[in-house]
Amino acid sequence: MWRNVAVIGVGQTKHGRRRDVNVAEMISEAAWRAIEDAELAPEDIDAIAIGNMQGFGGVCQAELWSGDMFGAPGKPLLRIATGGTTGGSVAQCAIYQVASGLFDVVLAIGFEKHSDSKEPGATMGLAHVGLANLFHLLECGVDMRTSFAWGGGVGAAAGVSAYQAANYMHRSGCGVEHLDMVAAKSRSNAAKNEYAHLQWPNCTPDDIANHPRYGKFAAYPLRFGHICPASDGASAIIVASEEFARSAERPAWVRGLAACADEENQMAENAQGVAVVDSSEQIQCKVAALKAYRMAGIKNPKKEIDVAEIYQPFPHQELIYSERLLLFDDGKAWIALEEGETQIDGRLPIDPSGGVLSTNAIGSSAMQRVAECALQIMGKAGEHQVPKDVKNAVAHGWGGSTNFTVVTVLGDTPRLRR
Amino acid sequence: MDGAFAVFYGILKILSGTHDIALIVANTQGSTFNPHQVSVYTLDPLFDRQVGVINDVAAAAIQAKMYMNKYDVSEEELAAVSVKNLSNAAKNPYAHRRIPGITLEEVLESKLYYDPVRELTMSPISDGACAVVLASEKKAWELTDNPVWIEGIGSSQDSYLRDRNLTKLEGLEAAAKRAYRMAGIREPFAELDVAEVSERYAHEELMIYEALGFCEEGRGGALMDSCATYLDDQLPVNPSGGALSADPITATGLIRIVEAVMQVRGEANRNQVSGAQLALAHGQTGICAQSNIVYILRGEA
Repeated sequence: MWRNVAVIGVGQTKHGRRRDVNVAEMISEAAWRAIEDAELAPEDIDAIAIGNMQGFGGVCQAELWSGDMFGAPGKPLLRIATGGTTGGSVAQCAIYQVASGLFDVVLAIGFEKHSDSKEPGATMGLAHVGLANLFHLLECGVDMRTSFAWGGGVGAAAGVSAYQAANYMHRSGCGVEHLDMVAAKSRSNAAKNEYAHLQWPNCTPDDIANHPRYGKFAAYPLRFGHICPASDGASAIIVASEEFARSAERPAWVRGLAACADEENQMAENAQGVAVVDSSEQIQCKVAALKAYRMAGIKNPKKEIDVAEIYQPFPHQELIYSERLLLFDDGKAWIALEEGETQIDGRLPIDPSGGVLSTNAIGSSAMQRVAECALQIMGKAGEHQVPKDVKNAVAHGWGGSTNFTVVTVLGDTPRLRR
Repeated sequence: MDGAFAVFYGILKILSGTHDIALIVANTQGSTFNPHQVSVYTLDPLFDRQVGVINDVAAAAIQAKMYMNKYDVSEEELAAVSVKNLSNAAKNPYAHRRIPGITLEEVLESKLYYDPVRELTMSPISDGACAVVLASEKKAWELTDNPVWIEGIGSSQDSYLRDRNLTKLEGLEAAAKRAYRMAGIREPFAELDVAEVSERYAHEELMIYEALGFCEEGRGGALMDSCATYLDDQLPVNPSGGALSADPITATGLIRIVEAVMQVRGEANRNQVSGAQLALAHGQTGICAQSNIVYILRGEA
């Protein structure tokens, strides 16, 4: 049976190009910060959950050779790899480890070090995904040109996302200028987050649209300035049972969590323009959100959610997923954006940390969403703390070819009240 | 990671009360690539991979030599493990390497890779998949009259290759102790009816005996000599043939769980241990069995 679980510690490395550390040092930097933040010692940790995108940075199963640096020997350890959602899945694994009653204090770590395999190394992993899809197409006899177009032209993730963005724009009526707004908001929020990668203080939509390099289209409607960086970085959280969490000053309680996959999105990716499934629909996100809100006892997310951390490596995804997380009506998120509702000091701040658009160390990215929500509830987000009382926050992640979703709801009170 | 660890994740979700039923699947198609080449990527990239002299088989050979030297274990005792497991495998329709009537000489004359690791004292490269369904107690009774209960779980990761005592599986020992405590087992050798373990190399099975508390430290070879782990003896280990008979890497540990379940359900056919009720299943991941997980399973009958 469920027992109350809370996030009691958060640790992040500075994300960016980290040539000063190796993978093991980077992971332990985040892990130790989380342990210190929770005012614990490494021997207090009962179990560990860890994950990254396997093979990225040219390393595999890093927990085996780096474990000694963050106190893993002698402890049960689970590795999780679910593409972009990895960090969120790792956080959820740690939550289940405690909720199950088997462990009291669990360390969850997400990390990625793209620069170890040079910049294209990161996308080489994605190219493999593309290649696997290509072989699948050869078997299944689908039109080859479409696969080459997205795979060879713009790289897997940006390729999928460009079609997704165009579909969303068609459906909702928003324009490229709204994507500029999201990107500008993200970069300027990131400037207030000391751990973020691409920081651009007071960035405006015009700064991006009129920039000689960032203003150019990589694949319409996505400009170079709309695309996430390939970062190095790690983040970690400490998840604890109620008994341990009570001693924390203001723990971030886990109110609800859910994961959902819609494998039909794989088909949308391959067939792009003439998709079987519209990859901008993202029904699985709505399913996960409904499950997580029901578990959290949230009936009206529009009113009850105070801040959202959405996984948005591309700007239109912030709009799509904020709708699918039921924070805005279908096709209306860009109107709220226009009115400034999603700014740090707005009615419903989205990605006050800058989000994935400004910092993307893949295995760390979805973990950061949970960590940032926890920081907002704890009141420890520093310069990017939203200027209001945060009662409920929702953390989101997507992965694969937009087919995986994880949703975690954190709050200022425990899920089960005595 | 092995599918046996995925079972742990499934258990966590069910114990949390958020899920009722979980499907756990694991597979590896070893024939499409060289797993020993790929396993080099699991070595530390800063030194071991750069130097390039070590891989998983070489590391296992070093471990085997260290263990054999320390406890005076002979190559014949290693070969005896292969003979036992591969003879069992000859009766298992799911096994990959089935050599009916295999002899000690055959094993000792098989191709030498890294002394003392030979073709027949290491696991083959297999294709295979495996799946289990887990359910909460309430759902289990709704779905079946013959559930197998998970009585104990224990898991532990060891230090990395260079920083650990290679002659002992300390991680497995810690994992087993946790599982035994949860299941209330004090005398594993006397209480368990059957064990299915992931021995990628023959010497690992002897080390596993010691780590699981079936015998004292350094007495794995002697336990093998006593034949107590043969199919119809005191505590049969790997009646299915174990990892030496089929090793679809990430499915191997999950297959141990499935074989243990078949034993306590009395469905193991020609490999059945008569009257088996309490079984142990072991999964491992990493070079030289660095990370281990142990399950204690009890049949309903």
